[in-house]
Amino acid sequence: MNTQLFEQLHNEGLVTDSSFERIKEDSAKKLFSIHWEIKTLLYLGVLLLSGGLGILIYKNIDAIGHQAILAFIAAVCAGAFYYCVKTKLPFSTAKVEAPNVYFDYVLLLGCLTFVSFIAYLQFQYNAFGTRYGLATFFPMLVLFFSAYFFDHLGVLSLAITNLAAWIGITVTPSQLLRVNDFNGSTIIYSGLFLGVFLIALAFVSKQKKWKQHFEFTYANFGIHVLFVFCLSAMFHFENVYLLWFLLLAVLAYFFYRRSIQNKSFYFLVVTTLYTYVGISYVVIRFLESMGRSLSMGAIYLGLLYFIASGVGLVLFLISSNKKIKAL
Amino acid sequence: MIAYNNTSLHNERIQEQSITAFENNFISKEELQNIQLKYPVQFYTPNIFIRIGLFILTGIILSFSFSLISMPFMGTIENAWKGLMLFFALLTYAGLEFMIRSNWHYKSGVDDALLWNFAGMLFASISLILDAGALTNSVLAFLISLYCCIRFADRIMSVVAFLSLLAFLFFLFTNHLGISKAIIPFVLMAASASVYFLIKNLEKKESLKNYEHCFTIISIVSLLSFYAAGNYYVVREVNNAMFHLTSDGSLPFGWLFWILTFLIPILYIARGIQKKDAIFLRVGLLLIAAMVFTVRNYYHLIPHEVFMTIAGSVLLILSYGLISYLKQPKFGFTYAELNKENKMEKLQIESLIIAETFGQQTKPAETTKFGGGSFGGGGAGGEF
Repeated sequence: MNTQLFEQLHNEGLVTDSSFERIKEDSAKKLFSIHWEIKTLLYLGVLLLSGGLGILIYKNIDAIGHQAILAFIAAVCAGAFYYCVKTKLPFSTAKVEAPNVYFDYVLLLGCLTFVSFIAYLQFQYNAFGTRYGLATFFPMLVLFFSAYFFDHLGVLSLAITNLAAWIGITVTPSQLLRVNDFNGSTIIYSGLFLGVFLIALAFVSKQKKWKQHFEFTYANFGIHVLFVFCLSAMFHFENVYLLWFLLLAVLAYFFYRRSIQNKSFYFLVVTTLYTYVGISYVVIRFLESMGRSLSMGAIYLGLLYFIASGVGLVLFLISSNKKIKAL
Repeated sequence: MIAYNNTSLHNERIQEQSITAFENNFISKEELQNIQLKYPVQFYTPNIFIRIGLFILTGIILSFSFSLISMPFMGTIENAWKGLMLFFALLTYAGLEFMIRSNWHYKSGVDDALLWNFAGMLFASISLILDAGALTNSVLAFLISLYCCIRFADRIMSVVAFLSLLAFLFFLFTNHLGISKAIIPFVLMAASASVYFLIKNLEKKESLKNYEHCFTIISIVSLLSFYAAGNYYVVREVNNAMFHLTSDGSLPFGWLFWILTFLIPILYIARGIQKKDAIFLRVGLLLIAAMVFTVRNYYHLIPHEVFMTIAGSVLLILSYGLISYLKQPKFGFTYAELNKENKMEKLQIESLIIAETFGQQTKPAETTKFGGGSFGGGGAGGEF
C-alpha cells in the first residue's frame, strides 16, 4: 500500500484521520501472505503423489491383484466420505462454507475415487454388462447428491459432465456406439434437451433459492450446450437451416435479455459470439447460392459483410456494456 | 511520450490503490466514492469479457479489411503483398492512434488488437522486404516492440522487447564476433542482470509510474532468463545443437553450470523470504522445479514413479507443516488470505461485481470439451 499517495489524499480531506491511521498501521506491520504459494505446493503434492502411486500400482498390478486395488480404492473413498460427513457444517439451502482448508480437497478425492471405483468394476469385471447407462447413472447420482449435500461447485461441474455422458450413452444404442457411427439427429435433439434442462435448473436454483450460487455453473454449461447444439443443428439439417436459425435467434434474444438482467458481461459476450457464427453462416450460404452468377461480386460482398458486421458488433458490445454499467 | 492521456492514467492508479484500500477495509465506501469523483478516469476500459469479445471482433475486421484491400491487386499479388502489408500496418497504426486519442480506448480490446496487428505486420513486411537474417530480425523486433512499449505501455510488448534484446546479443556473439562461443551464457546472464538492475532503478522514478506493470513483468522475465542462461540443461543442449563445442557432447566447465543450476533458485527463495518479495519467492519456487527436471534429465537414480511419490509426500508434509506453523503469523508471514473477510462488501460496488464473475470463469474449458468430447466423440466412458 502506497502511504505517500494516501498521505496526499488525507491532506486533501478525502481520507479521514482514522482511515489514514489504519493504512499506516498496516504498512508498518507489513504482513506477507503466502497463501497462494502454499496452496500451489499442496496442489502439486497431491498431483505428484496420486500420479506416482497410480503408476506404481499400474506397474505392479500382477503382484497386487485387482481385488486388493479395488478394496484400496473403496477404502479411500469411504474414508474420505466419512471425514466429510463428520466435519461438515449443517445442511442449508443457502451457501455453506467449508469447515476447514482440507474439506474441499477430501470431498473431491472421495468423489473421484468413487467414479474410478465404478469404472474399474465395469472395466475389469464388466459389472454392468452392456447396460453402459447404469455405469454412468450411479456416479451421476452420487455426484449430484454430494454437490448439494456438501456444497461443492467443482463436484457439481463433475456431476453435470456425468449427466451429459449419461444422456449421450442412453440415447445412443450400444451397437452404434461400438461401430462409432453416430446418429446425428438423436444426439442433437438430446443435446438441446440437456441445454434446456440445465437452463431450467439454473432458473430454479435462483428462483427457489436452492443453492443460489449454483446458478452460474448450470447456466454456464447450459448456454454453451444450447448454442453448440443449435449451431450444429443448423449445419446438420442443411435443408431447413433457416428454421434452426430462427431458434438461434430466439435463444440469442433470451440470453441477451437474461445477461442484461443479471448484469453479466460474460454471458453477453458468449451470446454475441455464438449468434455471430450463426448469422455469418446464413449470410455465407446466401452468398454461395448467389455466387454462381457473380463470383467476384459475391466475394467482395462477403468481405464487406464481415467488415461491416464486425464494426456493428463492436458498437453493439460497447453500447451494451454501457447499458449494463448504467443499471 | 505515452499515447494515453496522462491525467487519466494517473487517476486510474489512484483509483486502483483506493479500491485495494477499500477491499482491505481501510477506507469507507464514501471515501472511495469521493476519491473516484475527485480523480475521474475518462478512459473507455470495459469489463474483461467485453475486452476479449472486442479483441476477437477487431481481429476479424482487420483480417477481412486486409483481404478487401488486397483484392484489386490479385493479379500481381506476388510482387505486391509485401508492400500491401507495410501499407496496411501503417493504416492500422493510424487507426490505433485515432481510437486512443478521440475515443479514449484504453485496454479495451480494440487498442490491443490494433497494436498487435500493427506490430506483427510491420515486422513481417520489413523483414520480408529486407530478406533479413536472424540478427537483423532481432534488431527489428527489438526496435518495433520497444517503440510500442514506450508509446503504449503494453506489457507483452515489453517482454518481446527484452527477449529480442537477448536474441540480438545471442546472434551477435555466435555469428559476428570472433570470440569464443563459450562465453555466451555469461553474456546473457550479465545482460539479464543489468536489465534487472536498470528496471529496479527506473521503477523508483515518479515520472515513469505509467510503466510500472511493464517493469514488473520485465523483472520477472529477466530473473527467469538469468537462470535459464546458466542452467546446465539449456547451456548443454544449445551448445550441442548449434556449436558442437566438444565431440562427445559433454560441456566444458560443466561443474560451473551445475553450481549455477542449484544455487540460483535457492538464492532467489532466500532473497524472497528475506525481503518479503513475492516475485523472487515465486520465481524461486518455479525454478526449484526446473532444477529438479535438469538433474533428473541426466541422472536417473530412482524410477520416475518412486520419485513422484516421494516428492508428492514431501510437498504435502511441507505444506501441511507450513499451514499449521503459520496459523499465527510469524516473522511477518501468514497463511491467511489478506483481504478475505470482506468479500461480501465487495459485492456492493459495481466495479467489483465484475471481479466476482471473473473469478468464476474457470469452467468454460470443461464445457467446450464436453461439447465435442463426451457427447459427440468419446461417448462411452470417455469421462471416466
